[in-house]
Amino acid sequence: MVSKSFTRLLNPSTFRQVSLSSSSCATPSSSLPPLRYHIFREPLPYPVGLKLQNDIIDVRLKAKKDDPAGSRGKGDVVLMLEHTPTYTTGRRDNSPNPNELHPEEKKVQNVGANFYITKRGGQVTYHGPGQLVGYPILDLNVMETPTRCYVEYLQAMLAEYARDDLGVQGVLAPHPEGHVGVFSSPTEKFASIGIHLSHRITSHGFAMNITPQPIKWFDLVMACGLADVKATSLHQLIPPSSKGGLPSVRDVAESLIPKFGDLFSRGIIPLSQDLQEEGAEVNQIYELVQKAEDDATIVNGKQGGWPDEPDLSKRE
Amino acid sequence: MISLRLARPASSILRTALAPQARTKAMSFSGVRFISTRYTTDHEWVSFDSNSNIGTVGITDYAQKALGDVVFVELPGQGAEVAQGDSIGAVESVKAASDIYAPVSGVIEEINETLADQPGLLNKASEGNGWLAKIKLSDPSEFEALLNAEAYKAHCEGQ
Repeated sequence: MVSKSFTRLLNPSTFRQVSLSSSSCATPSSSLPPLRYHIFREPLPYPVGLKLQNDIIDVRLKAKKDDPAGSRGKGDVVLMLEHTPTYTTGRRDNSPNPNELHPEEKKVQNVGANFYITKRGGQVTYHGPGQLVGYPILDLNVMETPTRCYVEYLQAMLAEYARDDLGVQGVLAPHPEGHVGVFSSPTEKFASIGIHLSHRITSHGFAMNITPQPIKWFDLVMACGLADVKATSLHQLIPPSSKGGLPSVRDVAESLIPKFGDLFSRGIIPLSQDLQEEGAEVNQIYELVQKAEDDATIVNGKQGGWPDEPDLSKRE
Repeated sequence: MISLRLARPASSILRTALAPQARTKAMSFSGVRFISTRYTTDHEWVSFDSNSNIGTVGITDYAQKALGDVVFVELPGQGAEVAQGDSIGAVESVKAASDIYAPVSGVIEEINETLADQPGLLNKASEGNGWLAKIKLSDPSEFEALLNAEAYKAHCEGQ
């Protein structure tokens, strides 16, 4: 496997020069335990994913308190999934008036998706099948990574994957005007980032459109607070000459997993690996993930699945 | 019992900004009021005025550097009762919203309204004009238990 620094020489990345503040970001070398990852088998209803993240963070904070030295980096996990059709927004939109709908929420009443206000940064976005969602739950303190560097790394990783692995042309990350995310032109965006930090442990993460399925849903709202920008997807951007063909959401998840390891100079293994050798924290996280898988199946079953397209007939 | 606390040497900003207050009638001996500053492991500072029992709270320079350009600050409501460690809002920068926590228990007396229009103040003057809120402490001993400047510096370097 080619080392990261060698790859940089061959392929100087323009994505890592981002510096919204004065000092640049450098990945520290790491002696931390490997990251663990899980790819979900079916789309999760949004609340199931949210609860899972919050429960994992609670487990981690307790483990950190009980054994600050021993727990270092053990519970760092990367969750890869899709959601069922959902609109979300960040905490800037915490409406003080509970009787008023958020203006973007008004636009998507009764189209077949719920609308949630979350604690992450960033503004309105859509999640649904055809879009890969990643929730890295990492302790940035232990990893000695400032918040803004973490965002830059995620952004650079997604941009480099699209450009170098898939041959997408004209990738911009961030947008020339400074907007965080991964763009294929000044007016088209295919990956978004929105993070929440609780005592420096990350939750939420990134979302990247793989197939065109999310686009019709995105078109109903002004996503990310950017009026001039439309959503696009990797399938719409991969050149026809590309030998790899069009990857599925799962293919992309599997391709990104090793890149997380490279990004933070750590190994990355499946969550379920060697569980019997791990302590309570990792095992508890594993249990929570299994429960989320089961809850997703139950909720999706009860609701009879989810719509492929927005229902435009009932909007006000 | 009034105990005298010297302003910590590392807080030169505070030392120049604050002049000792005039003696009040109630104080029968030296009675010079000092405001001292302590820190939390979550990179917040509290500047405590033992006379008024009010602690001014903010995030440290270390924290604002780690965050990047602040675009939004979510603050607690005036009059809200908070317990030490409660989440009292967030600071958002480059798509990352970091929770902020009450370093001490008490009641929110005042919040820094300037931050609504000028969130960038948190980058420019996080330990001065970019203060977040003023809390009336319900338990001043919580303040005493926080990190002093040297301990905080060691904490930052050890991370």
